[in-house]
Amino acid sequence: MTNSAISERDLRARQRYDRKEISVAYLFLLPLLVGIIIFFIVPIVETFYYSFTSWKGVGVAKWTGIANYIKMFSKDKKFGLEISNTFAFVFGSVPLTLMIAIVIASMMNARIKAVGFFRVIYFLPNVTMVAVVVMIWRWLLNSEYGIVDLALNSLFGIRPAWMSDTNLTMLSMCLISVWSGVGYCIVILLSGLQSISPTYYEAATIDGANGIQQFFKITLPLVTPTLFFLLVTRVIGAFNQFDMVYLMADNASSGAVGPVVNSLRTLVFGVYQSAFADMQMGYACAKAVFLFFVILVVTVVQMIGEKRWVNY
Amino acid sequence: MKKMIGLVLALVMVLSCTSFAMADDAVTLRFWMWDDAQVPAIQAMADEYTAAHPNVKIEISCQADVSGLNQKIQATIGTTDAPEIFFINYNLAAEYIPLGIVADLSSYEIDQSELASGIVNAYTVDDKVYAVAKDTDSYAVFYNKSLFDAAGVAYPENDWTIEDFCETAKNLTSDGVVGWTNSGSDRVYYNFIYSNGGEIYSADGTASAINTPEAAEPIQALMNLVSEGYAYTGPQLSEVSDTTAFTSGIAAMTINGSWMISQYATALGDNLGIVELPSGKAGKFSSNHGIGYATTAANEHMDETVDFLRYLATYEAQVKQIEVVIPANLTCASDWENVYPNVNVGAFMNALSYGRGYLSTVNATLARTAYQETLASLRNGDFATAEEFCAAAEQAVNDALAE
Repeated sequence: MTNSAISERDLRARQRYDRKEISVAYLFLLPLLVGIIIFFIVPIVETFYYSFTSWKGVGVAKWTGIANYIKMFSKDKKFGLEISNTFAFVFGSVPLTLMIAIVIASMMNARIKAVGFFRVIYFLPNVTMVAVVVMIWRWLLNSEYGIVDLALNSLFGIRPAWMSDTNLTMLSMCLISVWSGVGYCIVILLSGLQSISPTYYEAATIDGANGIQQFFKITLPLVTPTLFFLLVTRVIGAFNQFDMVYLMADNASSGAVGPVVNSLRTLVFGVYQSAFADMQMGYACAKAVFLFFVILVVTVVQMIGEKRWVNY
Repeated sequence: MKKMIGLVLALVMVLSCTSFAMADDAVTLRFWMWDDAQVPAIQAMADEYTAAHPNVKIEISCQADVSGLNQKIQATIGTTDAPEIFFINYNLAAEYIPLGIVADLSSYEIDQSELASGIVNAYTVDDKVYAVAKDTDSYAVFYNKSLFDAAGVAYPENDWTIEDFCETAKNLTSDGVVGWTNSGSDRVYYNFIYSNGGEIYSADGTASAINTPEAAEPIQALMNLVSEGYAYTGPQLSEVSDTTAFTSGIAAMTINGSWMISQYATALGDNLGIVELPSGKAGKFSSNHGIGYATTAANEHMDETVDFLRYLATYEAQVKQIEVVIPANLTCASDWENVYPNVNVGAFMNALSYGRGYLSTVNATLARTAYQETLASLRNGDFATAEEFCAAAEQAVNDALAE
């Protein structure tokens, strides 16, 4: 009886203490929370609201129910393009980036000379602004005076129009994205690789496993947590890629419309076009809401899939 | 220590009071515009005005293009961050005025009698004036004299026809030189269609009217130029812009607006020739446009703004922009001719007399985008015949108008 009374009092004291501690903790979190609420939560809620209106971005928003969503799925031909382009970009850039990154990262993890030099070289594209990267690639790939064109033309006699042939534009964008994204993935993967204990490799070598076997049986399984992190963040990043699309599609002589733009038009770019070029902010919000749910679903699927292939 | 803090606080209070008092004295008018090339002219106007009105400060903020300005306006309109004065064009006017965010200037007696009536009328809706006309523009054909000489082709005359234009482009094309750059601008195509008796919109501006033989005929002529290699295709145009091709001497002719004259004159010097647009069955037409100065309905400094707008309508203000655009004040438009004595800028002045509006009365942005998009597909080679293009354009535009 006495014992339980004491423990109850103890418990209550602890709870009181905890509650006090919690409120102090919230106080410390407040500056960040206020920022997040004002700059993220409120705009997100507003986006949901405006997606049900015919708001033009200026003036009064008129409630139109689900008209924007009906238009999106039944009338707007470009919306289908936006979805397929978005997935083409995600599947065309992220897996290739990760594959190349893991190969290069494991090579750099080996004891080779001047490894620091290579790390810097591979990381350099990542510290360069996307705008600069795209502008330089646009020059390199220009089919009239680009250096890539010059090389391909003199070596193989072909002149692919990387930037204006609508069959090639998406491929060009994926390649540029891979080129500029690999460096970041290498650095993250290297840190993952360095946490793998060398004893595994020693044991495997004694057992007669060669380098390729070691890579697939030891390196790859043990680096999966890092790979998973990269996969989730890169996929979200690719879904939200805007600057690259904008700069690739931007064409002073034809404005932001036409077949070339349509071949690159991703969901995020579609949101931008609807909002600021077509003056249909409400419709743009509806697209943004759709994109939000696409990314949500894809990420949840990845989280579920995590248990199947990620070893902690 | 406490005394120190008290002293500091008191000092801060006094200082902030004085800064409030100062803020009350001078009214700051925020002036938003686009096009960097025009900043010096606008700055000169602002300087002249503020020298005479020391109680007014003018803060100029320039965006790269009209969509940049549009984004900023969308983000700030209705808030205290909205500009007091901003550039408005036909497209923005068509979108903004019905929303009631552009101030009606009718009651303020701003004298615009000296300004081009076409531009003033474009910003007048239901007898209410929403902007002060700033400038005007028109189209003409720019050509490179040295490429004409090299090909042994005579310089074009103002009375040439669309057939002559196509023939000239053909004769100028040789290895490494293309006759016509083609154009990414919808207005260039409208000029050809109007000249041949075709229409872009129905008379009341609520439906597309492009699906006619009159519109298809000149389009077919331009399509032939492209397919025979005398003009750039869409993909070529997007790899090398029309301006790059023309200024670097690999294209003999380009059709563009009066605002390009300073850039082309700088690049080509004495080799630059300008000739009026070729005429068709119905004569000559140049799709006409002009920027206006507008203010917002929620402007808190309306009196100061209106006074500045009155100044902007005067000859003294208008004449400051003659090196970059044709001022809306037609008296100083003749001064504009004197800025480029060696080229035939008269072609642009003449074109003002056959100017035409080119926007729909409803959903102007969407409908125009639909035209631009179909034209881009045309340049891309997506249509076998001009009739196909006209039918597709009509469909796309009518869909946009029905939104």
